[in-house]
Amino acid sequence: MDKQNCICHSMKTLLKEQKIISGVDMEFQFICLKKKMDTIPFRLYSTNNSKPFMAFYKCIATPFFRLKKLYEESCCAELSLLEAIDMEGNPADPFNDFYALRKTNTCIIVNLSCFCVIDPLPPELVNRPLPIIEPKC
Amino acid sequence: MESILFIETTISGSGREAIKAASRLGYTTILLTERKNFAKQRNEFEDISQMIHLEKLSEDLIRSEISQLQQQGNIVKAIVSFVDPFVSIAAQLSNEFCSTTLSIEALKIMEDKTATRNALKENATSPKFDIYEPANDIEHTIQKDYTFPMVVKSAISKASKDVYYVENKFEMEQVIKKIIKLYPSQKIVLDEYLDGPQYLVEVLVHNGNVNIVAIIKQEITKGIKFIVTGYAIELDFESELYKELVLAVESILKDLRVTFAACHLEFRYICENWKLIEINPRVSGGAMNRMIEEAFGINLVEETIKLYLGFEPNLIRKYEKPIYTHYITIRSCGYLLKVIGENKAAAQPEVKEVFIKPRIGVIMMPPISMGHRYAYVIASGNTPKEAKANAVEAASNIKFYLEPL
Repeated sequence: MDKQNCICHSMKTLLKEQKIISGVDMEFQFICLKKKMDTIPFRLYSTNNSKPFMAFYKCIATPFFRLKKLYEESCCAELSLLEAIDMEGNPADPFNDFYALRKTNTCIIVNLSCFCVIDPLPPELVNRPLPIIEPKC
Repeated sequence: MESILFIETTISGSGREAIKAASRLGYTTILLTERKNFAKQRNEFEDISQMIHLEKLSEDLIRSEISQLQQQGNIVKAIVSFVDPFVSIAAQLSNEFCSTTLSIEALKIMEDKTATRNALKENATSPKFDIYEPANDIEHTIQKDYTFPMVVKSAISKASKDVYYVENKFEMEQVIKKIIKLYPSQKIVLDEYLDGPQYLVEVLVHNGNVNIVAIIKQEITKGIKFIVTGYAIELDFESELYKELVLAVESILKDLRVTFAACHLEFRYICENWKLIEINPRVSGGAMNRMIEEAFGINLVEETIKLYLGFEPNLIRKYEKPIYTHYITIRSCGYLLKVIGENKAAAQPEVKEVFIKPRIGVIMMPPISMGHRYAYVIASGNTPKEAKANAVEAASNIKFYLEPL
């Protein structure tokens, strides 16, 4: 399998698993999933770069993405941008201590053949509820 | 090599400060503990010269360890515990191995709330009470003519654990069943509920002389349980009230035949009478030792150790300052992610100490015992009111970030 097919194949698997955890096409009779998850966040790395691929929107640069659509024939993907936030819900440095990832409506289309590594992150990070701050005033 | 043997300790608070005090006094400090995690945190216990872990702190195992320590050349000068329920056994072994003269019978009575009530049933400070024994029929007990509300507590309760406020027979039955399930062989104390201001009295008895070291007014918050969330050192106690309190303390300690001991008593002032809530055979835990040190310049645990060693404690106040300690509790449950505001709180005017108890990752919850108070701030001021305001204001900077469970 060449590099291009490899990353595309991984993306296909990721999309399949993303559908499974979101409950799409899966109806459970005995399991009640309290926490609805529909995203496997990930980072992408290109061949000769140790830093993850970054996308920019407004004043924010983010290396975190959600796979929305996969175009297998052209090995392209539509990705929505995920924004790193801190415990207060403010934008956080994605390379430092961030607490959660927040979905955005901003999307990009990328050619997957430009990348060779996909780094998945825990789905629980996406829209993770902000901490309770105690004592309350 | 002169040493002092401690039976169990807490990580922080009065008990731990006692070990530091012993070390300061020049003794080798040896700790016997059941807590395995202490060995893993050994570098946090620099004040302890030797730490010995025992699976169970039974009298037999403690005796065997003492013999071994003596064979190794340790001259054990005193055996001390500031942790329930080891205070009386430590005193008993100290009398036996170290020729101290501590009032062990009185300490044993203080450790058992039913024994305390029975020993003081003729004392004017005793509230109306009843004792439920495990062999008793619950139905028969709850049909007795009690006046509600009442307070139900296990004989060995500590730090507000297993202490319940009940408003009727049904609640009383539920609580008795709950306590029996936890402690099938323990007696249960059924006290009349006394509504009035609550005071804590720290006492050191040396050669029969009763020394009232400090009187502290407690602020109680009633949530699921009664939790003390504030302590104010009383400096200007009304003289008549003080005289009555001294008489009450002296009469209790006389009835219990205390000649050498440290203890603290909790009273409520009801209809111009002092009523005893409980008595414990040691200095209060938590911030108490630090509060007394800040208020009067007396290190009570250090003086208690001197008492244990046979010296006369020095309880002369070097100064008198209004001091208030505010404890922080929370209303939600969750895993602790981070704490902020500790340094800011410490930098506020007149703040003497800030203590944050929980470590990152622990589960925190609303208080059902005193152990669920998660931080405190000790502050002073020109007046008691100002001291309280300073402590509360400084504490408002401390915030716990919790991930919901």
